[in-house]
Amino acid sequence: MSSSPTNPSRMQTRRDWLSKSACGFGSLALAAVHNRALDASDNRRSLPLIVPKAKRVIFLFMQGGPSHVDTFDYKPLLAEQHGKTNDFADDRVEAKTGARKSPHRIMQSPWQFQQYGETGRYVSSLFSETARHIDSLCMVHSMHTEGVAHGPATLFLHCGSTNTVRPSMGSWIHYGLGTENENLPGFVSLCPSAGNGGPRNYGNAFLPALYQGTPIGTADGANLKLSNMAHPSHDVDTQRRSLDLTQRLNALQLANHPGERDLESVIQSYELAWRMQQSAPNMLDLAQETQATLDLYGVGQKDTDRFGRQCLMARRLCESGVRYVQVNYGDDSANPAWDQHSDLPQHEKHAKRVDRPIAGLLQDLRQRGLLDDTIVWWGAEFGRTPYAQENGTGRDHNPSGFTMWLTGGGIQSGISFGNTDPFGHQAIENKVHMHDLHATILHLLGIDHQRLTFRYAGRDFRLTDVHGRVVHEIIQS
Amino acid sequence: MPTPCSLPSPFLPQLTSIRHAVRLALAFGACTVLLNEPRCFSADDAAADPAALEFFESRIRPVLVEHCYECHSDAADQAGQQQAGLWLDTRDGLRLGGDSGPTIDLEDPSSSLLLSALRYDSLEMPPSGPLGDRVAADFEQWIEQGAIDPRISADSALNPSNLRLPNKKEIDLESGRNHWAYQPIPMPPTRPANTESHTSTSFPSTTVIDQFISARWPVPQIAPQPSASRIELIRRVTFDLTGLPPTTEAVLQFQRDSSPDAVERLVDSLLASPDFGEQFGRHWLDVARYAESVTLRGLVQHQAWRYRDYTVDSMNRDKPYDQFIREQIAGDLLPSSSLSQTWEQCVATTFLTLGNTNLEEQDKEQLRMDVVDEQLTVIGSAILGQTLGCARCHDHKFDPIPTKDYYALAGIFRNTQVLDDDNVSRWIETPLPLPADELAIYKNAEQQIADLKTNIKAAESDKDEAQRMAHAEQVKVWKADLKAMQDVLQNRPKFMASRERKTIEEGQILIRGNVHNQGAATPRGFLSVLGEPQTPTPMPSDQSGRVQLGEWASSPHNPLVARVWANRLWVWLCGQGLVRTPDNFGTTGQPPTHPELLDYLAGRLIQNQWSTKALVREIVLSDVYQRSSRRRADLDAMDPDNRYWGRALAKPMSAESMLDSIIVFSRDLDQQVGGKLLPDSLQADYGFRIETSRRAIYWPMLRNAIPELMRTFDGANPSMVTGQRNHSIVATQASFMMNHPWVVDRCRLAAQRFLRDNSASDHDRVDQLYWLVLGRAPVAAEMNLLLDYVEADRQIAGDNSSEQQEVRRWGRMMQSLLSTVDFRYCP
Repeated sequence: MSSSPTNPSRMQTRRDWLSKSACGFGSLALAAVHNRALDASDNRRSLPLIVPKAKRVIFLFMQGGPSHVDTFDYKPLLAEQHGKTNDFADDRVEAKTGARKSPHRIMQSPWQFQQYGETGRYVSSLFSETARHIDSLCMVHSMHTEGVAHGPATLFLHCGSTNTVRPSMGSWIHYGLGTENENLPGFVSLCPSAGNGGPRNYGNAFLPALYQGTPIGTADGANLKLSNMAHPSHDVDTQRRSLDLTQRLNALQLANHPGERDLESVIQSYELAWRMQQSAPNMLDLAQETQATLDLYGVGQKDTDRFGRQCLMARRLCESGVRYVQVNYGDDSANPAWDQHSDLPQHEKHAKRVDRPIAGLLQDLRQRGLLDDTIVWWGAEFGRTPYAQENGTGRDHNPSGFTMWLTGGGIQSGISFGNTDPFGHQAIENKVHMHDLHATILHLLGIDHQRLTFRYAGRDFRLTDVHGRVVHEIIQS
Repeated sequence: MPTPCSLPSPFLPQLTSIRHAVRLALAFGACTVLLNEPRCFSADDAAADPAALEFFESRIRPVLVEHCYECHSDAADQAGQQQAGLWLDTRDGLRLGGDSGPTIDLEDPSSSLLLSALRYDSLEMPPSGPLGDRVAADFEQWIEQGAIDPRISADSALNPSNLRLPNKKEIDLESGRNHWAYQPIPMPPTRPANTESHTSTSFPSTTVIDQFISARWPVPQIAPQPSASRIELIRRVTFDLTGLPPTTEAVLQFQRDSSPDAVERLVDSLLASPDFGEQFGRHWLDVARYAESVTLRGLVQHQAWRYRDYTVDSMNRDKPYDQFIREQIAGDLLPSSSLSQTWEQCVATTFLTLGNTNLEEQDKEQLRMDVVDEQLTVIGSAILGQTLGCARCHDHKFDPIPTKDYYALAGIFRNTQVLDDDNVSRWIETPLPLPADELAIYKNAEQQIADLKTNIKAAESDKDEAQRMAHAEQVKVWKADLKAMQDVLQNRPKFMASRERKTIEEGQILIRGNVHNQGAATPRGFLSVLGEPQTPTPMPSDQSGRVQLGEWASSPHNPLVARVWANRLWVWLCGQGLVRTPDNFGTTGQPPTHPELLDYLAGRLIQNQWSTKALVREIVLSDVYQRSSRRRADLDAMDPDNRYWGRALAKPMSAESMLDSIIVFSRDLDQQVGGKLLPDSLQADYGFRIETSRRAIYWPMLRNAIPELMRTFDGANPSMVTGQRNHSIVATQASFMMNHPWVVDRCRLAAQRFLRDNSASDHDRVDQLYWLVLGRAPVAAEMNLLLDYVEADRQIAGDNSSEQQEVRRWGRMMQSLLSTVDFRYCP
């Protein structure tokens, strides 16, 4: 039988190094007891050693695409030229017709922008609470990505590919670094959308199943718990006696199959599951939080309760050692949450629901010292156009220029990087492609994006395909 | 169009890559002409015009050095940063251009690629941001003035022999043909030459397969494991051939049957059972990435199930494998002698349409190519064991598959349409052929619908209001009739179809796989490494060429197809392949552990008219299949990976077998074969759940709603070719078995029925329970454990142990047995 992740010699070098590294990764125990698929394709041993600045990631996914020119990318020109028609290189028009330029009516933001913090950067009234943290945020105004429609762009955001089935970023990171808590999954997606790629956005694709994201909750914010963590009707004692029976039978059967490590692994998996079901619900239980903390996140208040719970749970999961937590604000529809093709003012409703929980999360992470080694990353599959869609009251998708912000875990505080053109339509200065951002986040975690590969169908695949540039300019030196 | 270098003009637009330029130059002697053209390519001009030279040095060269050399120069090449086959550090490199074609156009300077890239109008260069209008204007002026460029070195004149073509090594097909998988399959299949040396009492080598195994056996002193026990054997072969557990009666009968042909009779009866088609049909569905919805928008494909039933039926009827392949590639174009044959062949081609496609890709040219790429990737892996997708953007890095071959194959599928374009494109549903009387029903419905619509429209648009009122009742009736007729028409059988495009085109290379960057034309065709270079198959001008592809891909002379299929059967029966990368027979895959045996099996397949059942039968009747799966220290030491097959592998029970077994235990299995389980009204698959007593293969396979058991226990990912399932052992599986309500409910149902029919003592009940779940009697220690459990549990519950509590108790015991390794692994 070939070696497995539980074989201590297998990851010796990296494990040794990680345990000695500045960040002190500690145990790299894997929640899998055995995974045969790994043996042939595992390329992790060749990972180079980059000093990690972060241990984990929280991604705040604003599904549908909030408008950057109405939130974090202030463009006074839009008010000056409001109502005028100009030729723009619209991505959808170009994809459909090949036409480079088409006329569109410029539309100003309905929201006021004001300067915040010592860095004096502009944020609109939609995110006035998040804006209190402006001095610790790194704004990347020059994002651009692939895919004009939600489906492809959402998959690209998560998996680095618009169409072909590829592992999600969280799966790659879990595969690369393992987990810090063997009683919890290493990659969790809170309340993920079933739409626009659904499970593929947290899927392991060709990576072993161990690295798949575990969805907790549904897109409507309900069912915020791990599944199969308790017997539907039995009390703990009854179930433990059942498990004891199982394990005694297993011990007898194992004696008949000497040396079958798989069978031993199955037996261990039951003990692990048992431990998980004792500890995981506790880890996810928000009732243990103080009222002050609940208030901080807006839990218990009408608008913010749902996303506040998710953000608070993200913090608890991070504290418990989960490597990658995605907090989703979206829904299952084809035009998800922030997708205001018409009626842009709807943005207000969504902002109201997420702004305070996000600000609360940032404050809470900082107070607990978690922000130092946790990357918090905010954004969507794309931004929106600075002009009205079809002369209406909304904005269309814009993958050519938009804003994402990052903070914590080795990210430079208080800087803005890159720029869109004066309208906010296309990224023009210090452009950061989604592949680049992926590469940068992996780098912060100590992973060379060009070296974290997995062999599948005769090829070594990676998150950034053959692309990606680490944006050193936004990393703390 | 006048050209600066007097090339025959039709060829100029094709000057799109260095290699192509070279090929053209060599083919037409154009290079000489090119070099002799004085205005553009002589360095003397530069020397004679110091102003031009000064302009280059002050305005052009600094920009190139600062912004372009990082990725397009010798230095970049040495640093491993070289991009797009483009060198901008010499005059020649700049003029020849890279993968995207020549950078400058001296006749029409404003349309130069270099300018549009600088202006971010085509490519966007440099990637760090546009350099501004001034720089672009400088370059335009420079090109207008003849692109004077002094960067000519002695050894890099514009001469093909001096061109640097790093990474552009031509694939050597001749040496590529030496790869084991491309060798012809010896026919008739040959038997091992010399087996006496290893044939001994400890290694009897009764069948030809065993003789091959014995011929490679490394240590004669060590004997392989003997045959598994009868009880293990019937469990193994029943699960392997049908996916279901053997009945207690069958086990007992087989145990008693000591006749020499007992195993053969058992195998034949299993092969004849309709369960066989379900088990092997499911195997093929893994390979065919079968599902009934696409991930994006969760759109439900209501006709996909017909393809599932087609595979089950094909396996049950033991359709020759070559025919099975031809039908799936080109069934709609093949001759047919009956309506039912046409029907079947049409449904087969749904295979081509099953990709998990991004239907809302807005660039429809890109979508068309993505679909083709998916089809080629699947056909490559599933049928040929080749990783064709690697050649989409460049020549295959490891295998002898040039990009030209990829686009030759792609040409076939570019002429085949599987989507109708729209904002969200749509797969094509086409009515299936019907006998005249049935057809008449639908024709009649169509006619009635048309008539009713006319009538309704006329009545509703009557200008006279009184008349309209008078007709109102009638219109109501008509509308009801219309709805009824539309429902009738809705039920007309359709299938997910492929259709030939109206205009048939030859293939076209796409540079770096970019659909908007067309390279040279390439005739439709197959893999040149397998072909006879002198006699390419002629492609029809009025058809895509799928018929020819189907012939080629299923030919007995194609060395891959029979080998790949024989190896797949070995994987499914023995748990590992002779080639352990069943989807990849290329050089990055593993070579066969027993090449002669693989050739023999492939040859037998062809010899037996491609009968899958005959080959399955031959394999399961071999000693090597029937060996005990127990480990043994000496075997482990000799061969830790079991590459010599000294023992059988204990196979993890598949998700489907687990689900089917649990339904069997609750005595609830509905063994109906085929049919549709999805509700017709379902539009999107989000959150869809079903619980049925049908076998797992019939549970709708919806990509956003894969049943939890399949997800948890390594079911196939329905978006990719899965020749061998993952085998993971994770805590979530244990949690599922311990807590999932479906498992709990099924166990209670099983216990209820079990208790009803087993009023005997606890001892006898435990015995029965073991036979039911594990297909064997408990050993004494197991019996004692369970009896102790029953007693203790009753005590805890108190004296008033109710019937309901008893059901729960035995349900828990059943659940415990399901959680044991003897259930999770097939012996």
